[in-house]
Amino acid sequence: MSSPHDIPAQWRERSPLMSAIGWERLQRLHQHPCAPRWNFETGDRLIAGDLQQVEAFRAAVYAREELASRAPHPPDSMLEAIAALRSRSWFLEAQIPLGLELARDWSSIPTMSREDLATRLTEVIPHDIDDFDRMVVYDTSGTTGHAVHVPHDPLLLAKAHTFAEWAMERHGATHDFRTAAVACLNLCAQVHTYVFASIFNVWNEAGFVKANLNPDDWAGGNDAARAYLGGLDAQLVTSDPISLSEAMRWDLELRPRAIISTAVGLTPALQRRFADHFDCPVIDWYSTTETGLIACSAADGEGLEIVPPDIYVEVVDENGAPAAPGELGEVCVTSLRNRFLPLVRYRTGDHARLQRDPVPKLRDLHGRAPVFFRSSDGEIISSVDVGRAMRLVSSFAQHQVQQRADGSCVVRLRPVPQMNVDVEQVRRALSELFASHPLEIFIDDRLGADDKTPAYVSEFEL
Amino acid sequence: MRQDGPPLEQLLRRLAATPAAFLGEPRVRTGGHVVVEAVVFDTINDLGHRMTADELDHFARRDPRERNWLRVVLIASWLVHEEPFRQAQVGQRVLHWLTRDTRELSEVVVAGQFVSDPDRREELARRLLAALDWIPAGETAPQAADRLTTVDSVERARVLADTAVKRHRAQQVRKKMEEERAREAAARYSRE
Repeated sequence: MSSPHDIPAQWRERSPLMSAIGWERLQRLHQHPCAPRWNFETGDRLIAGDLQQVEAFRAAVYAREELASRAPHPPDSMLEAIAALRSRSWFLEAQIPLGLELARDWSSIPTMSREDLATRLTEVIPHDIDDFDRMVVYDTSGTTGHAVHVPHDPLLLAKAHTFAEWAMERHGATHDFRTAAVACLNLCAQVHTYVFASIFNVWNEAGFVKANLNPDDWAGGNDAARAYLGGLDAQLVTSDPISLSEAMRWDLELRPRAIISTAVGLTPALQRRFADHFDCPVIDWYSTTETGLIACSAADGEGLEIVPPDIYVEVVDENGAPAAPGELGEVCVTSLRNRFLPLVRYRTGDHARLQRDPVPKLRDLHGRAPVFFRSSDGEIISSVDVGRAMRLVSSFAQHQVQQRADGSCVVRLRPVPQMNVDVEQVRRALSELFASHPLEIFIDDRLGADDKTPAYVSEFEL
Repeated sequence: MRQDGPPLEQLLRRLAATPAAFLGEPRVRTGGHVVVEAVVFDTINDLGHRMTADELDHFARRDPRERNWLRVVLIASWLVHEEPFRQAQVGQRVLHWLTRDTRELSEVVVAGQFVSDPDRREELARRLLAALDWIPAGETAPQAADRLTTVDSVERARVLADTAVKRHRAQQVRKKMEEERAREAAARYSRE
């Protein structure tokens, strides 16, 4: 039995609340003979006091009558908070004219978009925040391809665990994360991604593994992957439709109590296929890096139920006016949960119909079609790999990558003002992924002018 | 041509006593009842200028985002109806002031403060006199200019919004974010 003194200093920093039990658990995950080639180390960064805050948030998640999105207007507490934020964020100060009555004139507040976060993020972050010690940053290019760096906070990430608990229960899946050795397996199928193990203090130091279904990431090959991942006995698997298809192809023996499918849309046919194969509920998870979770599959199978109690969801037309009830419009989110990133009427770029009664739901959500590419060798390439490969070698404001059925690709890049795009470097990086497929690369200053430019388009289907 | 205006005190008293009718809600798309263009038309008419349809159209606003400006226009209309302005028949110049200068004020000051806050009352009165090239009775031109600078909230907002301040903050935040991106982030249970 190890003691807390055995935990190395860097792990005490990554996971300050980890005890000897968690450390032993983590070591078992790391040292298993079939373990993948770990290429990253990270913890949950939670500190004393965070768990109580998560507890309070969990209570709010379960108290469904308090949902901000239930009413046709934001709750007073949210309006008061926005009024106070106006003087703390230059962006919001410019967005919200003086004298505007937030309750009555709500739909007159201009919407904000990824473009704002891509170009004016430093003005959005409240200017009186000078403590960045707990900030973590995630990069995302989303569905419209604008490069955005999203400031986050470990406490926010911990709070999001309660959404998974709630959703599993909603779908009739039990969980017992507090006694589980491994709570969650995050499964990817990419050329490059972080592969690591960790523990979650919010789940009583239960283990977490992020694994990649790429043979290069497994010293022991597919057999080792099957042995390791099957042996984890993770209660929850988080993944995406492309990776779940790969998991079936790899013949992984996973028996989770539920699967959460994120990042791209999940068609009903795929949902049934995965549910039959893995013998558990498969929950479509609609979230963005900027907003966190917005909605997940409703238990009655009709649309997506809005989950977080503290976000206000609207569906708006092109001018930012609320779409008529039941009409299709752009999903727009107001959320103040992230203290670094207050979002007021933030356009997600996705379209849906909104229903507020009896349960707030989004229906006919689209704009998240799973997109994947193929190399000339027939290998699947995920859009994440494509985005990553380009951004590692050059900076640009926005991109669009299209692959035709014959495999040829057209890439359009909008430069950051006054910065050159290194087209040859981008070409070299993409050639490594697409192999001998022809590539055409254009610089396009007008890319995204209509705000509806998808980042990835492919004529290949799952 | 500089000329003596009324004593400042007279205008400050008038503003402090703004009647409720001029503090009502301007009619915009989402509500309100005071028809601002009608008030402006009558006021400017009494000051010797008959507004054209185009000039009037400027005040026929329906966007709630312009509510604060419309409220400033109402308070300013009450102010300019004071005897010295009517006597001087300065309708056209006052209209120019109402149309242009009150806008930038409305971007940085909540309209009600031009009645409730002594400094803002002084600012509105001094701005009106300056726009007409009048000097408050009993002051010299340099005194009047100096005092206006002291109470100038538009200029103060400009300093606060100074791009140098924002640029410095942007550099600070970007540096912090770059440092954090270089560090390992925190573990998430799923991709977004």
